[in-house]
Amino acid sequence: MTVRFVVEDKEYPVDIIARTPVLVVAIDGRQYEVVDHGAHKNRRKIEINGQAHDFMLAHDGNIAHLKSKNRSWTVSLLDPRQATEQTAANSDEIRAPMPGVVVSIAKKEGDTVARGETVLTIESMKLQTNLTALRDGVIGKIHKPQDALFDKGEVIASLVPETSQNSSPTE
Amino acid sequence: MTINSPAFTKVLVANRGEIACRIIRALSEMGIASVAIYHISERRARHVTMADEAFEISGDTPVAAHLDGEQIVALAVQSEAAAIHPGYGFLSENAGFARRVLAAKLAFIGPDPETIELMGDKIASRQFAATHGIPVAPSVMPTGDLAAFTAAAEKIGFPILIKASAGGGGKGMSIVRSAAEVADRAAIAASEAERYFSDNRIYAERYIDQPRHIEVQVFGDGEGGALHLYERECSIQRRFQKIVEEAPAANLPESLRAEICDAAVRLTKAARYRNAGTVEFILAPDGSFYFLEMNTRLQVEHPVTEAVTGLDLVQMQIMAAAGHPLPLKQEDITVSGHAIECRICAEDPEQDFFPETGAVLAMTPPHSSRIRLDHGLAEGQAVTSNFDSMLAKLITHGDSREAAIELSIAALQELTLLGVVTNIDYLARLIDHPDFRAGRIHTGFVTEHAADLALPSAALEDRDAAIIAAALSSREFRALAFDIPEPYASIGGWRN
Repeated sequence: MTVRFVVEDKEYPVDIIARTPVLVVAIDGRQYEVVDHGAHKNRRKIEINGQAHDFMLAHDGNIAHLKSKNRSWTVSLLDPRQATEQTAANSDEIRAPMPGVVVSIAKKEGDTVARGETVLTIESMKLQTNLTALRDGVIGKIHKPQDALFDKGEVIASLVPETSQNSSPTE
Repeated sequence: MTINSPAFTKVLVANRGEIACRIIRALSEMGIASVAIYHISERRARHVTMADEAFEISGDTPVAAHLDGEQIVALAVQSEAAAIHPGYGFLSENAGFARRVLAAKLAFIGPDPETIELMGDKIASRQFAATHGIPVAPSVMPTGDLAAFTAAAEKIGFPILIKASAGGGGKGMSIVRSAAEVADRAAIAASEAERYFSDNRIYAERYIDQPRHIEVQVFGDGEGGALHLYERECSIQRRFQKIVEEAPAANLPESLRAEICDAAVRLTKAARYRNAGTVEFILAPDGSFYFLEMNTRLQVEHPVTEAVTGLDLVQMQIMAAAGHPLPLKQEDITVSGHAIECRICAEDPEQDFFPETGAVLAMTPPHSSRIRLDHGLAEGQAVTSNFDSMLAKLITHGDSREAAIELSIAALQELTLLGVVTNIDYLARLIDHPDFRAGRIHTGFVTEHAADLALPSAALEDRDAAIIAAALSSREFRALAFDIPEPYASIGGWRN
């Protein structure tokens, strides 16, 4: 289970290694035991590997502004769509950013789509997300029908490969 | 009249932000009703809620509204205010505005229009100072002839500093290091001066290497009587604008302090100056000092003087404008301890102090009786590029300079202003710098120590801790980590 964050233009995947008896996460392979002492107003106190940390924190959409004693941080929650965009090597494939269910399908096979256009809507963790085309193209296949369940990383839809489209003689 | 019977029952504050709040507080402490003005874009601002009455002003831009003297004077008359306090910036040094206020039979809380005019012209004020025996830096006055200007500039020796006659705020200012550059830089400075001040006159003076900026707070009765409230050091600047000020100046020999303060008082008396003003000097490393300019208004950094003298400059200004004589004698004014002011600005020190925008999502002021936070912020308020990037001023007062430094660092670490990039962390590093601590400062400090003052790369664990803290506040992450249903899942993926 991974949630991605961006700090100073760099992406950091936070993996949940264990949830009980204590929360263990890993960032780029560095493991931390985390105890959350909760938030009061804008202050969050946590313990990481037995060490106390105290942050002032406020959110603005997907951006968290934090301040510790000497330093301020801006941490962005990476939008699952962006995450897909950055992690999928192949822009033909629309992959699931997290496990979930297909709620609705906006495009059918053979439809043309523009980059950023919604192909289908999924629901994960009670949160609906539109999955969009990563480039202009034509829908080749919808791999998961409505109400189908899927795991993180599974291909949900794919576009007709670029090369076969470019072979048009009028080019 | 005594301090218990101020002549004014109501005063309009022709400003915004922290300084409007500061003036409204003084009025309230004196039992005087306050009138605020605001552009529609700042209708929920703190100064609006603090004032007894508030009126909207309009204009093509928010700044234009605050510069519309006619509209503001009309509002003062309409609201039956007896006086206008202009604060700093905007209309505070506009002689035409002061005249307009007086013509409406209102009191202007500041000097006479003629004095504003005299001191507002950097060339005329320099000549005035020189005539009265105040030292001025060797200089070249403007001629219409660029060749003559260049030749004369060469004579005073490089580097030279080119300045706009009507200047201020670093606009139209440039350091020139060789004769070859003079023509180009003069032309640029003149066009900048024209653009900002509608006055293309420029002049040049010897640029003093590693100068300190020392200024003296003065107060005049308008009849030739004047006193000083000692000096402030304002050498820590970026983009020719002050970011840290202190009182008294560090490591300033007592005899030199007396000489500088005396020169300031002589100038104030000679100008028959009325109300509060500031005489700025450049202090060279060899101890020679030169008149720079006189600011005919309350300064941004006035709180450090208030801290060490225990006097309330704004209340003094109001009483003086109401016709009260100077409330004390020079020998009654003493300095106690040391005060430092840090200007908290919405800017990114890592990007050459470029102004930043955002919103004030959360603000936590530091708590200590030795700390004063002057601000005009309300939580949720947008930080836009409509106005100056200064958000607040943090003033500490310690028994010694060392104590004030420690207080400032602790206060900067405690002060939280989330939602916009600020210079808070940078200021803490600056105050903590060994050269600042030792008082080895000059106006090039920020540039000289740029490498030391840059944001150090974060320790891996610190960055990871911040990410974990952010993750723990993210609905998405919490759902995965704790499997807590979020029935009230709202906008964004975060929760506190």
